[in-house]
Amino acid sequence: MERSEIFDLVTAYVDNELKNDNQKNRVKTLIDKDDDIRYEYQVQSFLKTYVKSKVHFVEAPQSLREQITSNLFKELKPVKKRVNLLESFFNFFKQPAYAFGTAVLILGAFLILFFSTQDFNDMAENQTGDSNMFVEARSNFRKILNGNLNLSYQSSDPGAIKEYFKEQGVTYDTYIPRLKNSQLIGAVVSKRNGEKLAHHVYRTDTGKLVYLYQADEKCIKNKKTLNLSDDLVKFIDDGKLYKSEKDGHSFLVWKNQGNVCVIVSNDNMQQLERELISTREYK
Amino acid sequence: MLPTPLANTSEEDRQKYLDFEREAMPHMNALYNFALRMTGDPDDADDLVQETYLKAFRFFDKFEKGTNCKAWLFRILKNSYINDYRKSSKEPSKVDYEDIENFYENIKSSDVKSSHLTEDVYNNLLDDEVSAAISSLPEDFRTVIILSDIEGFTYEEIADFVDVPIGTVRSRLHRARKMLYVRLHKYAQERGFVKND
Repeated sequence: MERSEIFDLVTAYVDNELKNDNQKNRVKTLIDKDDDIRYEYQVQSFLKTYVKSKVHFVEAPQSLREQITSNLFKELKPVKKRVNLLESFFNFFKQPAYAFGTAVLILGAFLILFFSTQDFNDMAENQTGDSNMFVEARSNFRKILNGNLNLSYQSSDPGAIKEYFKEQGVTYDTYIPRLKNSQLIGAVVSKRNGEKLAHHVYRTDTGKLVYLYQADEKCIKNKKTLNLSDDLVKFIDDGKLYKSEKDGHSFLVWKNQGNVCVIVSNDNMQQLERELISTREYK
Repeated sequence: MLPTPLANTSEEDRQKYLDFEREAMPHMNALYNFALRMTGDPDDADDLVQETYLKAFRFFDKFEKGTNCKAWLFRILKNSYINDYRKSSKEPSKVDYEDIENFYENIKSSDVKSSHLTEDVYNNLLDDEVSAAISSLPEDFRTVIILSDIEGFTYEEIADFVDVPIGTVRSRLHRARKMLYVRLHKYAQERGFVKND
């Protein structure tokens, strides 16, 4: 065997990589008897432990760990969560009551709006049909209460809900206000004549629900996707807030930066009005 | 409570992430250190490790549970390194191994005469100097030293990693250690820890 081959075997011996006992014994004998081979053994052994002792590990930076986690989270596909609202609605009543209140979506400009209570039958339900936004909102709210309409996306994060709307194909900017005494619980997207429409729901501190349905006003003005009575459209175009109460439900309709918004709640109008706040809109 | 992305994903994806976190994340320090030694640059090492983990996660279903996850991750990192960094990295100038061999023989003759290996002198070297000596080795030799003496991989794992026979790993490691020894000896000479020959 060449001298160099023996030296290589010495390296393997140092690293405990010789699996053959005969080979091991042979190398051991050579180490004991041959000065050159023993020297090779000493150098190889020394360096193996020396390198290990001298080279120190650097901790991977925390920022790197966080970035990796973030990258991996992006690989996860969100799924639509089905929530039985009726069950969660009743479960909420098992919890202690909080401060009473129902909050409403509003901007600062909303405070100077002209409040006017209109006869429920006078304006909102005129010219009704399948595509009347007000009628649809009322119907949807009933379905939510009955558990017949599930929120397909469950989240308390306004940003996440905005993203959800975008992902689901809602083409207009949506408004997800933070309400003082209510928590966002989820959202759903519907489709009408090819247009995707945004709906989201809050639960108040007292367990009431506030449902907000919004659509770009073009959807109404084009009279193809949705409609509202002409009187109601003119009313809200003038910057006014339509409000009404019927059968224990409160209704608000107004226009907010190009979106027609309909709120339906099972809280009373007094509480809705009391909770009129200048909310921070999530942008 | 699960983070929102985990709470909002499928049970299958959630389990995949948790399994991956348990198996792969503990090796991040080792991967980062290896990437740092190969690239010589913290930002490049960062990018390399990020890319490695992303690829590993995407192909995690191909990883055979129960096998050496660390070795698998290192292979992914190596391939990324080869594809993205090796061409642009500054490679230590090629070494004439014959020169190394001659110098080594000179050191040996002196040590053999005195019947002991002058190990003590090398303990005076700073850790940074030793790291620099390792980094100055040609890539092939540097790789086997890191994988064997620092990371503790077996010859078989190293052979699989660098895609050479086990015999080549053995001889390469032997030469790498000799080369490193010569470099350390020169450092020690420059600092006066060892008499010049």
